[in-house]
Amino acid sequence: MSDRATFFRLFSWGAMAFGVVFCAQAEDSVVAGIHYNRDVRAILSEHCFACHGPDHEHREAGLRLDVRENAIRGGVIRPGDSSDSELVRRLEAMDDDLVMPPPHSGQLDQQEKAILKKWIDQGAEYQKHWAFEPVAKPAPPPIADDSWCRNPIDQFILKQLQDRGLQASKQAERSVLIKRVYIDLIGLLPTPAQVDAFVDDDSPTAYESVVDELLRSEHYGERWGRHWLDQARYADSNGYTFDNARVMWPYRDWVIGAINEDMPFDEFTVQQLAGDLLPEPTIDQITATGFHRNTLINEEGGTDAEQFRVESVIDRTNTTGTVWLALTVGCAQCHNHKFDPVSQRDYYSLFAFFNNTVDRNNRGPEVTTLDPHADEIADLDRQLSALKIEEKQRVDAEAVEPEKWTVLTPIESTAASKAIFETLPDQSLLVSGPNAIEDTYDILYRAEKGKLAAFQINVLPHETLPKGGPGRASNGNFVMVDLQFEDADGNRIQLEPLAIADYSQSRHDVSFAVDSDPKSGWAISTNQKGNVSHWAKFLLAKPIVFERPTQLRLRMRFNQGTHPYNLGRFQLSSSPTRPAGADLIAVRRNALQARKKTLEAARIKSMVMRELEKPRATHLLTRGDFLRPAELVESAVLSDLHPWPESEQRLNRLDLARWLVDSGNPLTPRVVVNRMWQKFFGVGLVETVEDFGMQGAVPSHSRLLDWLAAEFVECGWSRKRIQRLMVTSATYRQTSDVRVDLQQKDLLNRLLGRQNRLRVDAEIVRDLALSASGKLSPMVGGPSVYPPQPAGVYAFTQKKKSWPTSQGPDRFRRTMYTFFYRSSPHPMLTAFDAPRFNVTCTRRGRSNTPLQSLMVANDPGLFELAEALAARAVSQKGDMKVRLQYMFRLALCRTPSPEELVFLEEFIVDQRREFKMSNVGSESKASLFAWIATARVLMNLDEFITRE
Amino acid sequence: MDHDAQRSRLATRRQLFRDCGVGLGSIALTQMINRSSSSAAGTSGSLGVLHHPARAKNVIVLFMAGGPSQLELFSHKPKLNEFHGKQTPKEFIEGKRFSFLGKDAKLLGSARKFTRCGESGIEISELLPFHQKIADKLCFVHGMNTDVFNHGPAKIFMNSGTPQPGRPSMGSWVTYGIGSECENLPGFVVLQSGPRGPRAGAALWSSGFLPSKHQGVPFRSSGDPIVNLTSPMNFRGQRTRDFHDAVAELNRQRLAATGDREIETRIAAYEMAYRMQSSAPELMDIGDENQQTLDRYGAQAGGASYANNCLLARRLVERGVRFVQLYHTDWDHHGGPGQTLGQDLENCCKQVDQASAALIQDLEERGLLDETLVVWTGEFGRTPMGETRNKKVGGRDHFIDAYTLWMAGGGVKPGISYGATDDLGLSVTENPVHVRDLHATILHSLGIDHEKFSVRFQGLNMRLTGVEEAKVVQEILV
Repeated sequence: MSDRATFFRLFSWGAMAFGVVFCAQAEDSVVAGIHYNRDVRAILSEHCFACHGPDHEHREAGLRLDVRENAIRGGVIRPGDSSDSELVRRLEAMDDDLVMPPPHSGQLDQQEKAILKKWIDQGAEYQKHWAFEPVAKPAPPPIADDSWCRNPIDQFILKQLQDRGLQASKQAERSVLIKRVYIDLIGLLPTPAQVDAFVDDDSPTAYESVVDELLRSEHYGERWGRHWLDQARYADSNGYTFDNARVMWPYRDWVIGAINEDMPFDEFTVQQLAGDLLPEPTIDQITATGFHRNTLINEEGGTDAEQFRVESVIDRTNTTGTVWLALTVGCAQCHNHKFDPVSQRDYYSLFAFFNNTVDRNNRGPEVTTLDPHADEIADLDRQLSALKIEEKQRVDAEAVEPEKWTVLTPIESTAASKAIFETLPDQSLLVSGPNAIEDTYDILYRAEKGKLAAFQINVLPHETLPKGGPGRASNGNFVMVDLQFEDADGNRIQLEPLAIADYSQSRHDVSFAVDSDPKSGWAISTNQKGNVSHWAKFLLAKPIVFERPTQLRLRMRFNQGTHPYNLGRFQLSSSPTRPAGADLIAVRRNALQARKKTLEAARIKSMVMRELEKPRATHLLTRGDFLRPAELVESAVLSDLHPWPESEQRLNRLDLARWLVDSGNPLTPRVVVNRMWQKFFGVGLVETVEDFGMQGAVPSHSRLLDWLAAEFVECGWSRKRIQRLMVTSATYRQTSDVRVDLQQKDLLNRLLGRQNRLRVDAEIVRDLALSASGKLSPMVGGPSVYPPQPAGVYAFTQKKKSWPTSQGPDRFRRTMYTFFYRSSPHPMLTAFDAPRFNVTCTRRGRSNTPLQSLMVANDPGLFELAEALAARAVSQKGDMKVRLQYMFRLALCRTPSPEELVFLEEFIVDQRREFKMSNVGSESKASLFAWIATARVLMNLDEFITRE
Repeated sequence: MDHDAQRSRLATRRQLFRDCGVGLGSIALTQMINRSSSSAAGTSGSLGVLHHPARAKNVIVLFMAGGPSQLELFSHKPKLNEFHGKQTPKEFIEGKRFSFLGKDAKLLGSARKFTRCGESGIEISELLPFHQKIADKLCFVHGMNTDVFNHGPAKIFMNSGTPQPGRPSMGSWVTYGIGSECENLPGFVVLQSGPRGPRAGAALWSSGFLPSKHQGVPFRSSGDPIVNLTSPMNFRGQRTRDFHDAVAELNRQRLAATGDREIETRIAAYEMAYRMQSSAPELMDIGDENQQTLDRYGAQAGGASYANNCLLARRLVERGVRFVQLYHTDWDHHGGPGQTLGQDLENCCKQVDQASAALIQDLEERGLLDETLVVWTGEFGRTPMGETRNKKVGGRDHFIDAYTLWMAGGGVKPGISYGATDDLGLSVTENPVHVRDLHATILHSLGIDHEKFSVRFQGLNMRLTGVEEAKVVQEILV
């Protein structure tokens, strides 16, 4: 089949026609006669219910055909007598005014008419729609020769095959099987050693061991987390117009973690829909509510926040309907559902659950999921409160002595660079001569006896300095990275780690001269303030008292990094008293607060749901228009589907979540196991995984579906348990090779007489290349990354996005971590049918296009991996043949056939010759290029991107 | 169609592929088969057969992103000038929603001079002198209206019929329905000019729930026109051919081993990729056009401009590409810096006037206009009220109730004006055309009945025109 187009073509011919005919042949074919659910409903639903169904507002002639008593009233349907039924007369009427359906809408074909007639003749028995029936666990059908079967799944599958005279296929070759289960469970390739170990393991549980190991792998959570994230429409940007980046990856990581620990699906549901409403919720439980914060935010100017808030509530309602119930509740946004029991009022009752959150087309409530500096922040907080007390005490005391500055006289001055010092009449020193990129001044001063509590350095301009100084940099600036004092005995005088200056250049605070960081320092921007004098005051940690005159040494270091930034003229003074305290406290407070702000910026916050204290009133919105509110509605579950105890209290999201995963809910367990099945077999047991309503497809194996759903609930909603059952079944293990007899009787392979070959998902295309090349960086979780992407991606976006291409391990992270901008996703993702995550996605397309070919063949990011694969092969010991086989096995996990090997040998020899002739350089280079060419061929094979 | 019939139909096609197929895969074959039957109104798309005879084969949409002011370009309102500076009538403002305008907005006259042009006497502003010369070839629709007034949602609405992202765009619907006649290029191509890309980005040419091969493919004006079109350094020329041959050979061996016909499609996809590697650069290289043609458009070989893109649009439809969309930014003339109705609007007009007109004339001379529907439009129009930015009234806000677009070729009546607005341009007084009607009409021109053209998705029969009533504007069709 060419691609999804064909799938859609089949689809638009009518899923119901397909379902009827196919299932009539497939399931229960031994049972003669017509079943309402299996055969009739889809016909009536497609052709009749729009005007004669549950929607009372658009019901024609008061006739309802979806309820038996209504349909047999007045003889529209006469059970047992189709020829006397008005329905049949209308179907066959020749008169345009009488014929039904009306001439402009589609007519029934002969087979459909025959089914209806036969059903009426049999008594026109109705059945409840299969998906709304409670799940009952059917016994697996007995099979005469069940040697093929490994678990109950196989009994259901084999029974239907046998009923059609078909047999199942043999198990796939072991190398194919292990590759298949690796791709399905973790999305990576097994290494040649892992393949060998499995192929050579003759234990009867060899395969089960592999499965168990994979279910324990943390990469399992990544692969199955990704499937869930499709449904959660997770992305890293806000969508719509500006599409700015957002931080939601903590939610993504929560999903991976929850799936890895096999969190029961009911709990998984409750935490995501209503974790914030649990008693004393943990940060994880709150983070989980990010599920419904993945909705879009429109940041365009002039938007009405309420409009887009309502959009997101609508999306949350529809997504919940699709993900848990596989019901197209969104149809009831504007009018009563035409086919399923969801009225418009029901819709807004569901809507009401989500209509009470604080967010309003903005980031809204967030939870801090990661606070790497929490301890230091707490410490800063303590210091800040201490400061407050200190300040109060100071003010109370008011006993601050005034500063009294005395200029000190320099005795001896040296510089590491041998710069020259001249003492000016004001006892300041003027520097000239050598001007090194890094310099240290060492000045000895005379000091009088008495108390010493503070130093002041005045930096002064001078006409001999560049631009007038005070520094010796070309603009007159300087960067003082360190400053210290010693007493006459060479002991360091302890200074407060905070200093005060009349001015510091931004990011060059004066305190940086007395911190422990040798790279930071005090500077004064002469561009900002001009070439004028400034002062800085340094405080002694403890005042000292000199009994007699003495000497002090000042040592200052200057270093800007690339250019000389030394000081040009300066003067030192001392004071027996500290400068006014409040001054200092303000400086200290600013410094603490700045530090705190820096540390807080490293916090990771994820958007979450939070309930408004006073609930919003919810109105039914006429035609879904938020500007046309109609009557008030209260939150309520779809109790027609599954009743829920009456409550005095207003129902909230927590009630909704619990209702969805109540063991009696007929839809949720069926829906969830069906989606797992879809991933392992390509198509769900119910093909329309997003629609279990009347318009959805009929299950290919309804009893198997129910058995799995019941098993799922019984085993405590464990996804790993069910998946283990699925992948260890004989059905799963079959070869995917096409069989002529199956093709004739079951073209679409819905009976599963073999496995299906499935092109892997977009992310997995690259993940397999990462695996094969050995480049994969296996780290799980964390911020999204930026692997290489081709040039020109932003030629068509409103804003050029920031794409700081990752270097190091982040360049080779699994593709699910690639930063996803909704307006301009990485082109490889969209080429391979990744959704754009604007709305929920339960089923990805699987197309096959030239753009994909260009992507795998030429994308620089993938080509880089082909080069790595080649390098890996070349580094292997052995001759060319051995290396080729090794490379083949790295990429395709099997040994090449003799024909393939011969072909590749010829190819590589050929390429080497060609490269040599085209002058790429040395012989070894030509050889390397030939290996790369071969690796590139392998990575471009259909088989490479196909789960066989 | 029942299952057996489906199967036999598939089987027949398969048979055909088998019988014909060495080296050529199913895509190319499908196209060959369908091309040969296109005389019998067959298509290479999902529809199989057209609903009715088509008037147009191809569509070119000239999308003036930002919302050009109809009042400065096509909609002459002397009364508005008379009432310039007056309060807008209350009854009009009541219940209306705008992006930025306050309730006290005053009417803003237009400083532009309009001239009656050609035999039709259609009025066109002095800002578009080249349009004035081709007035008789254009069909103006003055009663356009849409639903949403923010750029992103409105552009998505104009393209996909809903304001939320996620649905297929018009070009995707069209190529999905009737395929494309070009084997070497994608069927839906998007080009961009102006200072930046259009708001909402890829959502505008997304294939939504349709197969992704129907998504619009952006062609860039510099570097690789298509992402990853060029083979890696040192692996070009004959090495590219070697690569494709080797991939095809090993794929064929796997096909033989597994029997999975999907591999045939993969082989065909690689073949087409190979052809695109030469056909796309060849398309983009307008150096082979004569100087007269380049001058007529105002295009320059090696350049990047709206003029170049118009010329490329012609080259694309010439090669059978079904749907071409040109975005030109930025027409968002609110009045602030860079957004005035003076110099800034004049610049936008200068950038598109000559080339738009040249495209129509060139298509006509080459006999392509009859089969190509050209649509010149924004996502909405602009208000008759002035907007104050920086304390100056120099622009207009977004307006969804009444604006103007033009169409040409493809079975549309030339030299007519359809629909009218009141004297102040505040509302449509005659023949309103909603965006849905426009969609219905475009599909109709291509031989598609918008009501019958649906895809089942999430339980609904999805249509480009949605569930609200949409009508084909028969009055503007020949």
